[in-house]
Amino acid sequence: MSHLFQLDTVKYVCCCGSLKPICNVYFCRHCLRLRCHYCVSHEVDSHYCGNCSENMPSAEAKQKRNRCGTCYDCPSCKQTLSIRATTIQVPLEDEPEKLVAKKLYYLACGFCRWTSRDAGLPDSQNTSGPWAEPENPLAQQIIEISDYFRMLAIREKNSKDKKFVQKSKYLAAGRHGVAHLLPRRYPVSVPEEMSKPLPTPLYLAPTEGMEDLPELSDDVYEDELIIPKVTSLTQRLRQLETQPRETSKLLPTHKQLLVKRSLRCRVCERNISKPEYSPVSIKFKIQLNAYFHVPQIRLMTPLNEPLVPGRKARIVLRLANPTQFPTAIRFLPFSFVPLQKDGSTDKRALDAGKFDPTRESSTDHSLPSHTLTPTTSITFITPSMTGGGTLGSGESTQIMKEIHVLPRRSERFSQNCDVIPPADEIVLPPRDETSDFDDFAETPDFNDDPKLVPWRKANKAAVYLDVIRQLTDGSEPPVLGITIEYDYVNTIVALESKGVQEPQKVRLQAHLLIALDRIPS
Amino acid sequence: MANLQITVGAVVCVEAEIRGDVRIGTKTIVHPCAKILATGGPIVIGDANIVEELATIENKSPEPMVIGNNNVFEVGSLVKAKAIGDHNIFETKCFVGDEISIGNGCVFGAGTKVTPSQAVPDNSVFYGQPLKHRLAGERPSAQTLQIDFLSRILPNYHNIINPTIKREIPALPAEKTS
Repeated sequence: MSHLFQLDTVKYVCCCGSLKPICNVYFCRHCLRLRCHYCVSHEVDSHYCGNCSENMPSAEAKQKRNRCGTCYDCPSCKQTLSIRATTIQVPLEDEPEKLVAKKLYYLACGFCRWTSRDAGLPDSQNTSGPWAEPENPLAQQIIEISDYFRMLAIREKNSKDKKFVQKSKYLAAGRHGVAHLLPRRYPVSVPEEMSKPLPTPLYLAPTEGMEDLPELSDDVYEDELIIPKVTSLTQRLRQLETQPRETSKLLPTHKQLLVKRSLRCRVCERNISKPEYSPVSIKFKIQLNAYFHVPQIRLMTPLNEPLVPGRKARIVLRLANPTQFPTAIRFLPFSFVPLQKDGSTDKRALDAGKFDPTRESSTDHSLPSHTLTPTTSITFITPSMTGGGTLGSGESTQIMKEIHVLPRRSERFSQNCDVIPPADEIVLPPRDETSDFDDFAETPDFNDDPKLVPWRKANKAAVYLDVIRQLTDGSEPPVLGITIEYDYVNTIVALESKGVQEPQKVRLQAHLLIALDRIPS
Repeated sequence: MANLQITVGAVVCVEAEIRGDVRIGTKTIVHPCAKILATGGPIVIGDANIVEELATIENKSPEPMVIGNNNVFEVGSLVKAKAIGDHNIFETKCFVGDEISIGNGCVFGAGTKVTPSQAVPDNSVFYGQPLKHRLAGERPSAQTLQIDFLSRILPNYHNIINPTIKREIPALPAEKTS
C-alpha cells in the first residue's frame, strides 16, 4: 500500500525548484508562496528526551552533549533500554541465617536482548543506576585542544578592534562554538602578550612515521574470527569515545535528545510552523503546511497501458479543497520556469504577468537566482515594476528579498506529457469536517459537465484530463507537468489590519509533476 | 497409522492441528490453532515447552525432529529446524529453515528469517532486518510461571486432549483431502 498522499506520484514544485509531495511543503500566508524545508529557516525551540519527555534548557543540553541523563540506548541495536528487576535472596546483616528478598535492577533491550550483564556491569540497587560510563581516553587532549582554540578565538576577538585585521576562519569557530560563553574569564591581553606566539599543544605537533612496525601477535593468525563477537561499524561509531572492537565491551549510551523546531519563512521572516512548548504535546501554535492551504491533487486512475509518444490518453485526477473558502481550479499547461542566472527568463515572466492586470498571479517560478548576479537582477526588475504596475511596491521588495534569501535548488526532472487543458473551471466547496463521516450528505450541485467531472463529494471532485505524450524518447516513464490556478482567500490581511479590510481573495498558481504509470493507493 | 503420544501433565488443546507421529512431553502447552505437522519423520517434543497460536512446527525429513525442554514458539512462528535444544525462543512470525540445527538458549527475533545450513552456536540472538546475529551472555530464562498459569487457565476455556486415552489420528494423506 502506498502513502495516502502518493508521495512518489504527485510532486509539487516549490518556488526554489525542489520537488516535494504535498505533505512536505509549507505555504507562507504572508508571501503566498510554497516553501519547502530548504527555503525556511529552522530554529531550535527546546530540547527534550523522546523517551522520558523531560524538557531540558539548551545550556544544559549543551553541557550534557545533547543527551538525556536518565535514559539509555542499546549499544547493540540503538533501541531504548528498559530497566528490569530481579530478586535475589540475601542474608540479613544482623541475622545471617535469615534470608530476605532484595531487588536488583539491570538494563535490557527488548529487541536484540542485550543486557547490561552482557557488558559485565553489575546489577544496580537503584533503578537509576549508576551505570558505567565509557571513559574517553582522549579527554585530556580534547580539553587542551579546545583550550588552545579558545585562546586563539580570544586573541582574534581582541585584535578585531584593529582596522587592518582580516577575517579568518577561527572567528567562525568562536561564533557558534564555546568561545562566546567564556570570554570574560580571560583578561584582555596587552599588546606585548598578543604578539607572543601561543605554545602549541602537544597534540598538534606533527606525528612521526615509524620505520619498523611491531609484529602482529600469533592470535591474529591462529584464532578463529567469530563474527558475532566483533562490533559492527555503526556500533563502534555510536560509542565514539572508545570505539570498542569486541561486543562485550559495548556500554549503554545515553539517549540522544530531540528538539522541537519552529520554522520561519526566510523571505518575510514570519513563523510557518511553531510547536507548543511542552514536549508531550503534539499540537502546534502555528502550522502552515501546504495541505491545509493548497488544493490537494491525487492520481485516481493512472494509465492502463504505456503511452506512446504523440498519443493521447485519459487520466482521472482527484481534487480536494482543504480551505474554509470555496475555490475554483483551472488547469493550465505546465509553466514552471526554473530559476536562472540570466535576466531573459525574468523578463518573459514579468511580461506575462503584465498581460492580465487583474490577476495577481504568482511569479515565484521565474525568480532570478540570488546567487552571483543579484545586483543586476534588481536593477532589471525595478523599472519593469514601475512600468507594468501589476506588482505593487510591496511585491517588488518581496521579490528582491527572495532573490537574496532563497537557495536555488533546481532539481532535475523530466516532464514528457502535456495536458490538454479543459476550458471550464472546477469549483470546489469549502471543507466541512462533518461531511467526511456522513455518507448520505447531499452532494452539492454545480451543474458540472459529466464529461469533465464524473464524481463529486463534499469538497472533493474527480476530473477527467486528456494528456498527450511529447514526441520525445518513449523509454522514460510518463510524467505529466501541470499548472493549476486556484482561488485563495487570505485571512491574514483581515487579521493584521484589525478587521477593517475584507479577507483578500487572490488567484495563485501551483506547479505539479504527476507520474502517470504508478498505481494509486 | 500415525499416533499421538501425550505425556500426563501436558496441556494440548483439541483445536490444535497435530499430524503424524508426535510425542509431547509433560508440562508442554499447545495452544489452539497451533500446528505440529510430522509430515516426514516423527516430532518429539520435550518438557515445559509453549507452542502458541498459529505457530507451526514441521518436520518434512524422514529423520525424527527432537525438540528439547523450555522452548517457546510464539504466535505465527514457522519452525522446520532439524533439531532444537533447550531454552530457545522463537518470536512472533519468525521463520527457521529446515537445514539448521539449533543448540540451547537461542533467540530468533520477531519476523526474522534464518536459513543457514550449519549449526547455530549456543545463546545466539538473531534480530532485525537485515538479519543481525549476536551472542548473548546468558540464555533466556524458563517460562515456568507462564506455564503454570496456562495449564491452570487453558482447560477452563478449551477442550483438552486427555493424555490417558490412546488415540490414533489420521495418517498423512489427510492433507490432500482438505
